[in-house]
Amino acid sequence: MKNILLLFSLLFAVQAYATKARVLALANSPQLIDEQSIFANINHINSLGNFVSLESGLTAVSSTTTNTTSHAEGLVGVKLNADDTLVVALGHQDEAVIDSRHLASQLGSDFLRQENPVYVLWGHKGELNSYGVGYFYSNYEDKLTGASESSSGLNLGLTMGAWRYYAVYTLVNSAAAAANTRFDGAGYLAANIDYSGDTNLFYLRLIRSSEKASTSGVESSSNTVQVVRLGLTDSTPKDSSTFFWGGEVVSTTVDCRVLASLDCNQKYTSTLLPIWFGLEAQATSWLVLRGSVKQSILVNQSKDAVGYPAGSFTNTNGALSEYAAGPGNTVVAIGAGFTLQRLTIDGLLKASTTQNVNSTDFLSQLGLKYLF
Amino acid sequence: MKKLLVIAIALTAINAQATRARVTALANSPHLIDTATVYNNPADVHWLGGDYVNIETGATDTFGTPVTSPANGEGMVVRGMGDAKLGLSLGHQSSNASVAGLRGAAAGVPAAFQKNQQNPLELTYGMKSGEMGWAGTLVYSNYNDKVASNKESSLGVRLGARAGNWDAALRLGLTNTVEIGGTGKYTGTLGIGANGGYMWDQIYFNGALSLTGYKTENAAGTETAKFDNQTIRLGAMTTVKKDGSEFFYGVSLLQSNSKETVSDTKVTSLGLPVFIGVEADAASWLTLRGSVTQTTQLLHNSKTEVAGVTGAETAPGTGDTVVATGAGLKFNKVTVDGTLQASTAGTSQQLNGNSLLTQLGMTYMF
Repeated sequence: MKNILLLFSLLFAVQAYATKARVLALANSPQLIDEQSIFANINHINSLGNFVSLESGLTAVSSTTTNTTSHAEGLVGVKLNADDTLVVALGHQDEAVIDSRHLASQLGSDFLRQENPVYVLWGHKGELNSYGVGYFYSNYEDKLTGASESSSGLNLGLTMGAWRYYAVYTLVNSAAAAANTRFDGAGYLAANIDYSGDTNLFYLRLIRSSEKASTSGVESSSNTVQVVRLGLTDSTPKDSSTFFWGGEVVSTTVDCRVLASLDCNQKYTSTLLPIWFGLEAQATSWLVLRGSVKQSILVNQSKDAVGYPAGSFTNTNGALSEYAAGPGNTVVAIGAGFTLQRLTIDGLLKASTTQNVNSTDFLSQLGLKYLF
Repeated sequence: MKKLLVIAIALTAINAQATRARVTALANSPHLIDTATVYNNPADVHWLGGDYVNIETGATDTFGTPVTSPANGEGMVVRGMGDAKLGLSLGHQSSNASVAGLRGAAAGVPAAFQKNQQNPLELTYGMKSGEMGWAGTLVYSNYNDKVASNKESSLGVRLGARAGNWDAALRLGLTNTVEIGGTGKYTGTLGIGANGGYMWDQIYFNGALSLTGYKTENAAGTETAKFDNQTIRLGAMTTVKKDGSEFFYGVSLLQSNSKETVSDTKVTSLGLPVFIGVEADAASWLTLRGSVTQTTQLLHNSKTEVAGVTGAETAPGTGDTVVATGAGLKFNKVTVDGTLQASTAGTSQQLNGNSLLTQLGMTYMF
């Protein structure tokens, strides 16, 4: 068992400490261990050392974005001793909070994202088992206009041999756009189970979230989202490079109970079979190149009996829709990491979609990390 | 025989593991063996030096405004199992079922039907025994919007074989349809493409045949267009390899006949394009490449007839000189290729911070 764990940690030896740019360039593949992955899987914290990570981005997060990658944030991780790791993150917009707020914003009033969020995570590596605990908090109130937001939640994880169990739960997720317009999204739960083999990872993800919005006490929207993801990834390290591939089945069901202050009682459902492959290679002692391709194959079905806005869920376009085989979703991502002593600068090559490399189209999603 | 094999291997040794950008920069020369040429002759997977991952940058088509290849994102991975090779490609747009080919404006397809393959998937399998390798590829795509009654589907097969001094490939487009609700339907006929080559005394003789067509119907089922095209290419070329560089030149006889029955339009062309190219290892980490292609005015005829009346005729035709340049950056097992934006219309002749590389692709050899 120890050999398996050792091999598993060695598998990700190519720049295990990285940034949002790395995660995006590698297709958000679930086997990645990264300081960004600790928010979804807190067990990864026990693989980290001392670091400071800074992610470029906006301070004022637009309400039209659900993307957790577009805002500025910083993390510092410290090994308290050989077994304990503490990470503090400032500015991290967690999907447990903003996904449901984004949906509510698309369906009605514009609700704030997390304002000055703080996230504290602690992990302990034991001889047999390891675990992690995290807590996030944010708060804002404009006493004149009545605009406010508040969020808090727990992040728990347990590693027992090749099995990993982890969950994220929101205790508070509320916002007010004005004195009479309110949002409530508490009760988000993401429960996950992983099993790690020699080179592969099997995983099951169950996510349940809800959003309720009201105006002057009258419910304007109410939706519940359930997502099930069952998948497999495999990684093959060789000569300072890692090739990986993966596939999963993603089933999403959204129950609409209220929309535009009227009874809805309709659903959105989708089933997808995305597969992906990618690589991360140590090109030179100072340069890491990475890239991935991801696309749905054979199964790309969706039925939207509600008419959710474009971008809310897969294949939604603002009107009623039903796809037996949905539109193209091939995603290519290429990134680079520059290592200078203990400093690493990661970025996503804008050429991923533009094909161009020049002074106008070079790196985006810039992140900087220092190991100490 | 051994001398022929050596020549054949030498022809393909420089940066054989490359990308669309390399093929573009080298004028799509018929002698190239590349990760991009696998989509023409699947047997090329055995001649790339090993297993590989190839990622090509670009945007994605979502059945709206089409992305014209090679501007689309795609990727391919090939892994070996003993003498066999398995390949998986995502996102590649085949010439038979894309707006860059038979579904495009150049083929006279109405704008409503100019749609690319959606989420195309290609599976390749091949074996190599001794000097000869063969492979086959299955191509599939499907799209069905039940509300708008829009559909797209394609199914095709590619077969290829290659040995020391010869190569052959066959491509069959079995289904190729686009339906637009309230507008009509586009149906491709059985598309046949074949090409081959033979190396004889340092000259590579090559040829290609393409038989394609489509028909379109309006929403009432009335035929609005019926198009057929036959293209034949016969060519010869040679390469000179020296000191880490490869210089090649060749000529082709290119004949194309197309006919659209409903409007009674015929287009014929006959040309003698020549091409010259070079690929050189400028440094251990840098490969530079370029080519020029032009139809000689000795034979450069085209004629368009509508209902028997000549609408256009040139003999010889207008200038078609095309220069392409590119660079490949090599980092151990990773190669990053691009074409120089200096070759592009908007940034012609410029090399600066705003005009550097485009059509970026990356290949990793296991």
